[in-house]
Amino acid sequence: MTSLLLSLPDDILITILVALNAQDLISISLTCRALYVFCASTDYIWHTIDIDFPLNLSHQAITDISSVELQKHCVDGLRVEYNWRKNPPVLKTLSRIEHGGIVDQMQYLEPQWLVSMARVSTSLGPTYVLSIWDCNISGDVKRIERISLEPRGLSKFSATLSEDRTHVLIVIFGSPRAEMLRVYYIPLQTDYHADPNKYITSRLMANDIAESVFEADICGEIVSCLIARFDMGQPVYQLLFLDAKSGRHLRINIDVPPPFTKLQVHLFPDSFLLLSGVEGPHNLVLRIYDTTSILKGLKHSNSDFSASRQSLGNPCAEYCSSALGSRSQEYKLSASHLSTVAALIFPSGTSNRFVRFPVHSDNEGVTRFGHQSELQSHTFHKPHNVEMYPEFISLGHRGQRAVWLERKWDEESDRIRFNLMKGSFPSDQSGDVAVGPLLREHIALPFGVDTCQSMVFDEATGRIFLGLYTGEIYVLGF
Amino acid sequence: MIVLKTSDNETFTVERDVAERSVLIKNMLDDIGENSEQAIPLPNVNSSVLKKVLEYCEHHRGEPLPAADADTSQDDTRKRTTDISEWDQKFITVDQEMLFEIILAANYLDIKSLLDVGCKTVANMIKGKTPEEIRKLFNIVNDFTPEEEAQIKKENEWAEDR
Repeated sequence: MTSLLLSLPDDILITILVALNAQDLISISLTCRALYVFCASTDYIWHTIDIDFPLNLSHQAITDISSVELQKHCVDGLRVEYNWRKNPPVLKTLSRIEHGGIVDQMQYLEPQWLVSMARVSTSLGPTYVLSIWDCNISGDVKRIERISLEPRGLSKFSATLSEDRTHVLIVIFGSPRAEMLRVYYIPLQTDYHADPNKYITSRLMANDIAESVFEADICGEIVSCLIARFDMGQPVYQLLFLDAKSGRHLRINIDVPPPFTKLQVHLFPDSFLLLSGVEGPHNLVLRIYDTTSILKGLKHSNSDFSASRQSLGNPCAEYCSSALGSRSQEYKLSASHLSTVAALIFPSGTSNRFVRFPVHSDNEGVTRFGHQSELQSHTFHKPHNVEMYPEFISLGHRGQRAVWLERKWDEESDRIRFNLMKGSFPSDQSGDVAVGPLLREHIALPFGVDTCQSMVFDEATGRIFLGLYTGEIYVLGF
Repeated sequence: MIVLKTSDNETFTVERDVAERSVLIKNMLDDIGENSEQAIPLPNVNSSVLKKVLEYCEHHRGEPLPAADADTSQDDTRKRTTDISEWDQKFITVDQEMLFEIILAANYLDIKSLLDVGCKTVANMIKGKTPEEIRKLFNIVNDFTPEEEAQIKKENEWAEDR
């Protein structure tokens, strides 16, 4: 007897196959030659099925990838997903990078670049060193650039890839000194090392008011940063936009009353700006603004610091997630794409929270914002006596996986213990939050987790980079 | 009332709005006009299948038909998971031969919602199964050589301990 499934017309067979998820599609394609060839040769099926785990695709759109390639990516993605869902997952690789200094801050840029900032002691006092690493999954991690930063006040950075992905743009900023911020434009694929000063595309000197840039985000060639100035003991906040190419910039006063703390700013490629912060003791507030006209003004103006009197206008979306009973909160946003804005919130109470904010982009690329009622909120247990630090919370670019470090005071031994934790978070309301320890108990590691200074997570390949006090980076592969 | 004639020469008399769940029949009726007494021949459907299909049409009569150029935007694609309403689920609980007959009939008669229910049901049968289980379920003959099978299994394995 022949198979009824195989004798269906192609269009019906396709309707059945596109209702499967990637796992099941792979399984059915392994049953016989006819289905193997049919699935492999019909791009439409692979472009349409539900893939609910992160893929390591860099910047390609799924529809630009052939079914054969996409199937390979899915198998790789499933291997990570399957391991990641275990409690604890199996640590598959562990490698060490000699960095030097104290590895204070890192950022991972998909598909393969790590940017790090380390504090190095010199006879003149501490200085900062910026490095770029090639972390291609199929090879060893290689340092491709190392830049010593002068002057010393610039101690934080934010990085992004250029649109053609041949350069990395890095904005460095920090405490109030003569120079407020500086932007580097550094080539990625070259063996030739120029004088690092040649890579500086723009810099901003401080004016005479004591103020500091405390948050900055770079997107495309536009830097958006938050500036705080103390006026009679109260902080006054401003947003500054800088066009890294032309050096043009403008400032906008933002109205965030004093109980608003832990402000963050993110700019997206389509000119949407996300401003977030903790309002009062309970609420994480997200406001999304359309800054198209402001950025147009930035392109065409020849303004200096004080020329602009523009305002941010009304937000086009505002969301609020309240966590009752908490005093201070730490939160981390996944904000690499406007379509996947999510937050991981660690209040001081007894439950943590994962929230996905309803921002949709349709096929034409038009962005629609949802209502507060569409907010997907999931809570998960928080152990007693745990403290969290924002630099040790790493939520993946898609907001589907996260890693964090819990600092726990153990009452019995009266000692502080450090636990690396991992979580999987749903992309829609129906999914589950799965949280557990990252490593099995009593695992022997060649470093102490308590020497961790910084942490980043490459969600798509399941790699965790731990920057240590001892000048090393350890790469944990899952 | 409309008269339908199956491949095995049985006739079914049904109300017009029930029969018009089928876009094929609706178009035929529009073509031959209001007052035809003629039976509509359905040479691709036998009586046992048509009985089932009419049961479905009867239950869903009066529901709005999907537009001809049904919009399949990204959101719809994502939501097109495999949820089937309770009545439909009961209705489609039939043996595999009947299930595929219903799918083919729904395709021929152009009843999109029924075709959908059928395809989703088959997809649900596949979900979570290993290749070997799927072969057994649908009578698929494994025609890979052992070497080929070992190779593609290795390339596509994601759970080493499954």
